[in-house]
Amino acid sequence: MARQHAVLEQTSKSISLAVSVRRPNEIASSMTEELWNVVWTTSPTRSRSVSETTNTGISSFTDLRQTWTATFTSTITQQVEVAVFADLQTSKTFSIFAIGTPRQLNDKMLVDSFEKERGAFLQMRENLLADKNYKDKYVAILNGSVVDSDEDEIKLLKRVYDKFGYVPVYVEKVEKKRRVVEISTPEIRSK
Amino acid sequence: MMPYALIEDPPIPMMQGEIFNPVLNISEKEQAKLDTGSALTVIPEELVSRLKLMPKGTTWVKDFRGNEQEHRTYVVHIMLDGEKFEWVEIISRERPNVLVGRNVLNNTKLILDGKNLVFKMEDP
Repeated sequence: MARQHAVLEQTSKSISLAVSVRRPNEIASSMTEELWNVVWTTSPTRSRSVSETTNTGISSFTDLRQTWTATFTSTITQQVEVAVFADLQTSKTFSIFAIGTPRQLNDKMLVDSFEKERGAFLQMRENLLADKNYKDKYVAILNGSVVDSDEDEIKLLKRVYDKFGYVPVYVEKVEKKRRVVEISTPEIRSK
Repeated sequence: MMPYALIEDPPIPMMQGEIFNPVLNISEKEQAKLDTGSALTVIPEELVSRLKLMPKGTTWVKDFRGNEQEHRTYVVHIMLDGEKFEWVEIISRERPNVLVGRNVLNNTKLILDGKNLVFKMEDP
């Protein structure tokens, strides 16, 4: 069972979440809506919480090749903890992102998620450098894998946002040298 | 021609700018200093939260002391003097205004008339 949860500080009356699960092709093709369970936990105060398990909030469930995206909507107005899990044994990586209101993921979660993607890039950097399909190109890392690449960074970024939503993807050029830019104003100092 | 800002001594070319989240299309207005000494554009750290920007990468930044530090990078649209520069890579730091670097300025014709303390940005 794969499980991921997110705590959202909510400001509007509704939230939408996209849950993306990357799986091997043969698993993705067999996934259905019934395999999903969603737990909404509302916490008007942190000491009192109510849980509800439902999959009735699923408003769309689409197949994006290896990535399945389910979108849920709620009208809960308090702080919300969302746990989503799928009863599949072979799930690889499981991530939850907010769409439309992405900053409702708190800053720490967002940074953690971004740093995880960055760490995945650093781990596979040598292999990417040795791969002529990626060398000297920009790659986009999401859920620990290369999801797309391009010689043009902005084209790549637009494509990734179109496909996966406005999520903390890590985009980097696969090259040996380290990129250093100079900002020579004294107003910018290293921390 | 626009006047140099007199808030610093010597005065500095500074103008009203607007920074946009390129996906969510929310924006914040902020004063923007033009700085050809900066390779990248820098925005105040608090704007990252207010504009709900997603980090998209990292870069090493060498400061005026020669120190190097890795920074997260973001992408924004920037409006300066009515012209919009799209998908501009930026970093953020604790600072009161935007520092417009060469990754934006090199797409403009910038005339600095320091003798008369006026400047003009054109043909962007």
